[in-house]
Amino acid sequence: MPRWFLTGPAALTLALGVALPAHCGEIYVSNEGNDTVVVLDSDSLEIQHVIETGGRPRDMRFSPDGSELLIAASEADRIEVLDLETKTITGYIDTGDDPELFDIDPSGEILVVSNEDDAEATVIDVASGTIRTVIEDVGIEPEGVRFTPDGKRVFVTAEATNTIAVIDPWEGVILADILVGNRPRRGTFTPDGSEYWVTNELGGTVSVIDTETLQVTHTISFEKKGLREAEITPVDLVMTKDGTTAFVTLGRAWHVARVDVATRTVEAYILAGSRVWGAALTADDSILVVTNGASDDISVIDTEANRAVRSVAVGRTPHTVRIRD
Amino acid sequence: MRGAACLLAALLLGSAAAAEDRPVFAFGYLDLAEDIRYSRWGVHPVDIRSETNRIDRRPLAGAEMGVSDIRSFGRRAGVQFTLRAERVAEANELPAALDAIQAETGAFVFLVDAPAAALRELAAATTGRDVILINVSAVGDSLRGEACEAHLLHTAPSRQMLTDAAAQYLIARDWNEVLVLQGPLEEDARTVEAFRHSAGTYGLKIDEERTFVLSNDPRMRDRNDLDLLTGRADYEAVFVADVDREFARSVPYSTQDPAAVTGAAGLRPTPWHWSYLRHGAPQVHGRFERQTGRRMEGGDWAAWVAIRAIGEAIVRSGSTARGDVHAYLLGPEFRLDGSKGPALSFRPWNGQLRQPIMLATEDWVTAVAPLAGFVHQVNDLDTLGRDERTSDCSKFATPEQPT
Repeated sequence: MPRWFLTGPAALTLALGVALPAHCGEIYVSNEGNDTVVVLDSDSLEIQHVIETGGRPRDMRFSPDGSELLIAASEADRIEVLDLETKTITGYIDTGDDPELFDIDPSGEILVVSNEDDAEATVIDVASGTIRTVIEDVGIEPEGVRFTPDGKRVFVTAEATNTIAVIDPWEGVILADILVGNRPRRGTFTPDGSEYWVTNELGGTVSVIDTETLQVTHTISFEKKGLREAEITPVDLVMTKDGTTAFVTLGRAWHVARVDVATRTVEAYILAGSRVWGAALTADDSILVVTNGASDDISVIDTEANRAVRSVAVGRTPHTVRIRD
Repeated sequence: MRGAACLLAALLLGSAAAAEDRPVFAFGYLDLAEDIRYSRWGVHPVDIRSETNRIDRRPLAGAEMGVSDIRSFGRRAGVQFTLRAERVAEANELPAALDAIQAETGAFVFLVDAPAAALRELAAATTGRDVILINVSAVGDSLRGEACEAHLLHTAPSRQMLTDAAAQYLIARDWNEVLVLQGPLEEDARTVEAFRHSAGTYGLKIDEERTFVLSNDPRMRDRNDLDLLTGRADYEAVFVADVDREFARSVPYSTQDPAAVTGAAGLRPTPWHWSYLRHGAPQVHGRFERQTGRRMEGGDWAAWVAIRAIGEAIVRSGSTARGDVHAYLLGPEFRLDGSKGPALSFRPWNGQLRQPIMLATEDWVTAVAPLAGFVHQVNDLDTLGRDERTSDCSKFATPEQPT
């Protein structure tokens, strides 16, 4: 009998009789430590496919038409295109050195990728796979890349310069730099595009930016009894479709913070795994899945109960999770 | 189409011209042409004659990377950062070199890579002047203690911070009894003094202190033979104080009793090691290697982080005035990312940068101090080196510390 069946979170699930809502979907997780993307059934939480990728797969995004998953293979210097029906890699897009995170514009025409080692962002034409522009000097160690909901601008965080470069990817120019907290990592826009929320890993905070004025309007801090300040290292951030709730992964603090967007207050701290980084919500926002980079598993969190109901081993150093349902 | 292309070109030209037009903010950098710390100490005997493996280990390369790293801060602060370095023949020429750079560029921040004695003289000669000196390599504790100056900051760790890190590791491993081997130099005596203090702080028992000499003289076998030097003693670890490092290299695996070696050989405390894989360190190291073609060392890190500290203080305080920058650096808001874990800040009572210390073998960082379980009431980084209560520096106007 498999060991997980007897112990730990699985046993807890059985004991408590927690039933996850049925989604009939798929959970995709990239494992940067052993160069695979695994596909789990979102109901059974069992691994259905293991796809070998180029070296160090990290960020992943679905194509706007929903037929493909794009996977950044950092060591291979390219994005690999996975066909979601056949679960095979069908193409490659060269990205320049060491692509880490990327985003696709809502129309699907271009994508922008951060090149961590070169302080650059590369704008790529998706259909032809050719590089349109390389934008230099976006800040040292660029990381998070997000298109505004209208697709006109891209916000790129720079970890080592504590800035966000606001870029016009269509013209290939930097419009502004915004100074945020220490070591900004990733962010997301509110659904109406009026605010950009970004995590500051070393500052232990989230900065809220008004996208009109490009000013930081609020800084959200995290505090929980028993957690030391140095452990609170926010990395990823996802928001519910209605824009009322944000979930922030707190890295070495083992927890995910649930934040009320309107009041900017923390409503709950949810226990996850070691070095919790990546996060994704199901389409109905009922389930949050997070990757635990230092315990090689994912935690599946019931967002009604604010509690992790399962953890599933997925591979070495899971980085990003995306859900298709 | 052509119109759009022309417009784009104009925009790019416009922004390039703007960068050139921004006023220059120069960092001064001073070091010595002849510095035994680089010409002799730590150089492997084989490499003394090597054409290929003798490399320039001076921290200047770290400062150059720092200036390149903070370019976007310049865009924001409306200045253009540059580095103006001067290498002098004698330590007593340092004040004149500083004056010349300041007259030429208006620089008020000077990174100094010089031994403690030279730095102490320069600091004394510039007291009350409109400058900030940043020590990037001297580990002397008195520079942070009775000889401190309010305009002298330190991004290099002190000797006490380094020996405290080693002591924490030995305690954490439960290797509590230590044999100390001390070299012939004044610096070695200072290192043993610091280690004695660390042992007292953390509860290590120093079984014996023995002095060694680099020699093959059979009449001095008790001081040059490792079998004799490490015999007839009770110890679980050996601490070697040897800045020259030639003798220290021979100690690991040559002790009479099985023992861990730390200090100048074995597991060495250092502000930075190229093998560290966490906290964004590989990115920093990768940039350094691409720019210089060599490994990044402790001094390089200290010079790099010094430039970053000033850049951070300028953009956060919104000022390039000396007084504002100095106040921000020592103030409670200041936090710096040094790519080795926790946020760094300056100790307001003596200008020392709080920082983790790596404990590294030749190619691996085994641990980073402060180790788990070593806690301080204000900031765990203050378990390394003298904290406010034990400091004997009186030149800083210290604000109240939270308790």
